Amino acid sequence: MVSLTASPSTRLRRLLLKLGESLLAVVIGLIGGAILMLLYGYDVGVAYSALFRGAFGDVSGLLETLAFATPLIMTGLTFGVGLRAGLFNVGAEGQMYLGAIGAIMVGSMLRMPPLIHLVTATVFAMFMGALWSLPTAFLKIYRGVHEVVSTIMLNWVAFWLVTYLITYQLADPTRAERALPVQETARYAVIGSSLTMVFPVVIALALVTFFIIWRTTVGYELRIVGYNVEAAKYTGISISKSILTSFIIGGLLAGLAGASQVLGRPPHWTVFATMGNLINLGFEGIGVSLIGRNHPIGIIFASIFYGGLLHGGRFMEFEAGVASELVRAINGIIIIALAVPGALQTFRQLVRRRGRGGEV
Amino acid sequence: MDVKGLTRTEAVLAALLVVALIAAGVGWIQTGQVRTETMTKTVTTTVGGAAQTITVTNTVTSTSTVERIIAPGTIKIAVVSDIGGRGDLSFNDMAFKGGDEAVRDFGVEMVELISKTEADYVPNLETAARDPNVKLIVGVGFLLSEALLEVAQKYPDKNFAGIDTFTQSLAVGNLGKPLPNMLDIVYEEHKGSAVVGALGCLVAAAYNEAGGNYPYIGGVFGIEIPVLWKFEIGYKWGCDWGLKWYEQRFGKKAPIIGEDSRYGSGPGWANGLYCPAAGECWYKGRVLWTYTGTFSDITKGYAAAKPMYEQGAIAVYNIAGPLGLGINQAVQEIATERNLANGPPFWIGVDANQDWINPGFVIASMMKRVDRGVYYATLLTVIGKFRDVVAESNGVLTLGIGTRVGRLAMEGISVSTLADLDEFIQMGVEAEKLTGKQVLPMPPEQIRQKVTEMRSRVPSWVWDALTELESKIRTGQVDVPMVLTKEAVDSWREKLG
Amino acid sequence: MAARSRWRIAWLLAGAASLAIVIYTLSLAGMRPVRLIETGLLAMTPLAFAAIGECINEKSGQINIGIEGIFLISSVAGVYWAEILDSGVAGILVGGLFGAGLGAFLSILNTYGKAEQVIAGMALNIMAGGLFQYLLMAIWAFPGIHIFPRELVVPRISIPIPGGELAVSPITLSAIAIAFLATLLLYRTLIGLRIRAAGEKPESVDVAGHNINHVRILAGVIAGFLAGLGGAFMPLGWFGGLVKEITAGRGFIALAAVVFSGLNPLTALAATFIFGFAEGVAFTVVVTPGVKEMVPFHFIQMTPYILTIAILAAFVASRRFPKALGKPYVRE
Repeated sequence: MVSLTASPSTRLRRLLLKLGESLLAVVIGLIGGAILMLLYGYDVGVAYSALFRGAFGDVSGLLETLAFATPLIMTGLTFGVGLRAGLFNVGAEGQMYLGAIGAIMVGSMLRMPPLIHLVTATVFAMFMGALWSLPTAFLKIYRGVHEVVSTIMLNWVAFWLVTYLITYQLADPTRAERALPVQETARYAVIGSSLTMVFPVVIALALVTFFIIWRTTVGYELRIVGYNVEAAKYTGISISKSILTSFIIGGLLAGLAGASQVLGRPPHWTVFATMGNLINLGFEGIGVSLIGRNHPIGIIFASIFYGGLLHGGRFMEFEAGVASELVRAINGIIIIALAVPGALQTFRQLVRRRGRGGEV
Repeated sequence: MDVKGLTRTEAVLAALLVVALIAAGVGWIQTGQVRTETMTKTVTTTVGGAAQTITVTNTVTSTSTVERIIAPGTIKIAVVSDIGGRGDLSFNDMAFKGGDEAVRDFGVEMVELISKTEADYVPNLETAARDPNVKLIVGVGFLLSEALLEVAQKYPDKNFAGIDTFTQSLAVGNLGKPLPNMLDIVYEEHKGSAVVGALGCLVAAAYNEAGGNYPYIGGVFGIEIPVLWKFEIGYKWGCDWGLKWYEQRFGKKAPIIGEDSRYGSGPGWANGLYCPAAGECWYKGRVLWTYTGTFSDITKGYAAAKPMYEQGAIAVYNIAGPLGLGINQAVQEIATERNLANGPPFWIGVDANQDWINPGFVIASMMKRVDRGVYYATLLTVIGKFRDVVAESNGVLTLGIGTRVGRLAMEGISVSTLADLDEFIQMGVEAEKLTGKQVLPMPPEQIRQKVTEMRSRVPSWVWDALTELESKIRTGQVDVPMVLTKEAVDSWREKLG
Repeated sequence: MAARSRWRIAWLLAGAASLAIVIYTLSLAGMRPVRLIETGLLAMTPLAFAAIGECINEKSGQINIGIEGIFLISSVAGVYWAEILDSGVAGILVGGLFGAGLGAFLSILNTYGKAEQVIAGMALNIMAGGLFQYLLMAIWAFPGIHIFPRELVVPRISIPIPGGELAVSPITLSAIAIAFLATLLLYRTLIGLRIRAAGEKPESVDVAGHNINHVRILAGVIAGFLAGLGGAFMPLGWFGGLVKEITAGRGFIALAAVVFSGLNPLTALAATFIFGFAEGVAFTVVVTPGVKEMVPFHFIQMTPYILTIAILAAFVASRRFPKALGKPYVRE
């Protein structure tokens, strides 16, 4: 059985095992993608080599990859922190929309001095994200409503609410297809390509989350609740408090994910009425979190990997003519592979011949 | 570190990690070799002269490889779509058609990149710009304006063109001067819309003479953006021009659509016309119109068009890309219900020649030749005149009716003819060959026959009127209002409804 | 039981009354009630198929978040085979088979694979979203859209009603029939009993000597088949074309209807009609000048989700769902 504290050697072993599992899933995903390409007569070698060289092969590709990874780190952590508390928080999508609209409210509508404006907009966006996670938390705590159902419903309410706000309340008067862009004072400085200073902020917050979950009492309690609710009850930990904490942390992070697309991504600095530059970032966070084993550090690397797929997909399309949406199909396959503990167990049993089973 | 303590499984998984890393490294090198092979192939086909399309290859990272494959005269153009993307059967698809024609005529190669989200614009343009063989990058759609500004600045040695974009005015605003390597290609949609507006109202008049009851024409629009105001007011203005032309030609008002008092009454109204000032009267309220707020949701096209037909619109103009399919569905329902082989009701196509989508029910299409824009930009790049034209025109090329560049006529707006129809049927036939699937709704011969039949049912004076309007626009005798501001659109809506 | 069914009748009457009021108000605003009901029935059909199936699935103790994904894949498969078989109805049935395959796949993951069902469903959605566009390009060499010969669209039939004629797709009628069949299946047959037991008391099924995994896979296959019919209905019975936004979140509306109904197929049918009707109203509102300025359609589009949340908040959720929902069965 896995325990919350362990000796260095078992830790290393567990780490390797988890790494191996993720890697196996990634390989399965890539093989699945290759099979799909072969079925329709595309050149797999050209496609994959274009994908990976485009994404990681040079500096500007790498910067672009990191820009695509930025929001995923946050939405991935939203799901990851939820899972640490035993919750399936699939509400990052809606919370992210609210974050983006919060960033626009402060960034476009208010006038403030440079740095203060940026900080206010970011903080308000995170606040909005957290606000949107509260109904789920309260429904869970007081009415026993499963968080998967309520977050899915709230995601769609958020989608229509934000579309409404963009179209009718925050629209750019000269450009009806989008909201007012944020002012210069509320934009993160550009590092290169589409990467801005929001990236270090996101990394810093991921590390802060790491610290909270693994080095504070609040985080410890949260993990106990996620690990074993009954045990948590006996030790007198407040389950409601831990649930609420995990939703609030998740909401704050998802809010920042939304803000990062508005305050931290050239050249538009706004949201379109189609929400095209936000859609799916929340759901893709789920996959990222699973590949990263729900661990902040793992999620950072998994995001960069998946950001690479997202950016590299265009090179695949450019050089091999493969529709770049294929990378989303690959992502889906990877997640399915990771959703099935049994499959990996079977794999292990094959290797071990005599399965002990029962753990993971 | 107690590595010995690893179980067999874990050891295997760790080994797998190492193997995978090595494999990845090897794959990297090997795919490089595969790439070179493909390049050789490309050269062969180019030498062979066959107009093979697009599976080419070359990279951003290693310039040495690249120099090897530049065959003399090899130029690539890249077409980057906005999120509307391909498959609208109009705007975006027309751009790619222009690219295909350039491939055929100039021996260039075309690569296409389809944007999935707004975040893709800059990376897609950059991916294309970093390819050393790509000399021209065309961004399709005004949504790419900002992204083009950013990338065109970064790659000054590449040519950039944008369809419907306003990058140069952004450049003037931000940098104080236009970019030397960027060409905004814009269209006089208002003129083409005026012609189809006149067509719609005159066809209604003609069918009403024969006992029909068609008091309106209709228009289904996408998102309310300034470009669409040009279409809207042009269309309404055209209807008014057509009805006035009818009055002059026949010395009476057009039946129903011209005289009924249903369109309005009260101060300013006289004889079914709205006269805001003395000597200035308008046929107000003849056009039923609505903005659906989408360029993608077909169901809204259907929901918008259906009530228009029920209120007696003879033709509905599609200014919302794929929503035309929804309009078509509404028409088809009525046709099935009443067992019709031909319109009315009709709809009016946009951007491309859409007459073939439902032969006999699409009276005509307002063709915005986005394909010509791409074609001209490629032509200018190939003959080395791109930057001269940019310098002369301040970077904005307007294509419309009677527009020219120097001595070269470069038009981009027209109403579909039977000759265009053949061109588009041919495209469909080629697509059918390529995919082995049915693309056209019926055999080419039958399409041609049905469209010809439909057109011949419309009295010839209607077509005369259109020819007259077109030639008057060309000579500048009539001036179709071009509406770009909220104030202007409001004042025109006051006059025309 | 009697008290509960009386409550149910009261609820249905209240619902019907408010629907009548809505229709009346809309007809005052110039919209034609018959047209709204027609659109509502069309929009209801895919939702109804999927929701009825998911009721059965959840009764057996599984939850499938991936209906949207099944919709997407079966719509492509349906059109592809409709073209080959030259029949819209055949295409819809093949769409159902593909759905059944996906349902079986998910159920096998859920049972033998002991997968996290929520994650597997989400993954199916993500995968299908990518696969849909990839297949459009790979099969028809044309991105984003595919239009097939219009003869393949299943024709609608006219039913005379007071105040005009109602054009209804025969597929819609079969969806209504299936809701009744599903109720019979669940409450009047042995298989239904086992399915319900698999969700409430899996041990009892096991003790009785039946393989719990087989029962659940059967439920998953039925649910997938119905969702597949719904997915293929969208292009072949409604839109007359495939576009990338074809599902537009309808898989989640179906899920909302399931939650709303408390897993009763007939209530789910009623819920999908209300949701479909709301969708029809939203389409109509957005294109009706004068009305669209007063009522932003976005708020109408929200109603299914808000109603569902309200229902969940009003009733204690745990009573409405099987005890073993979402948990793989492990013999103790």
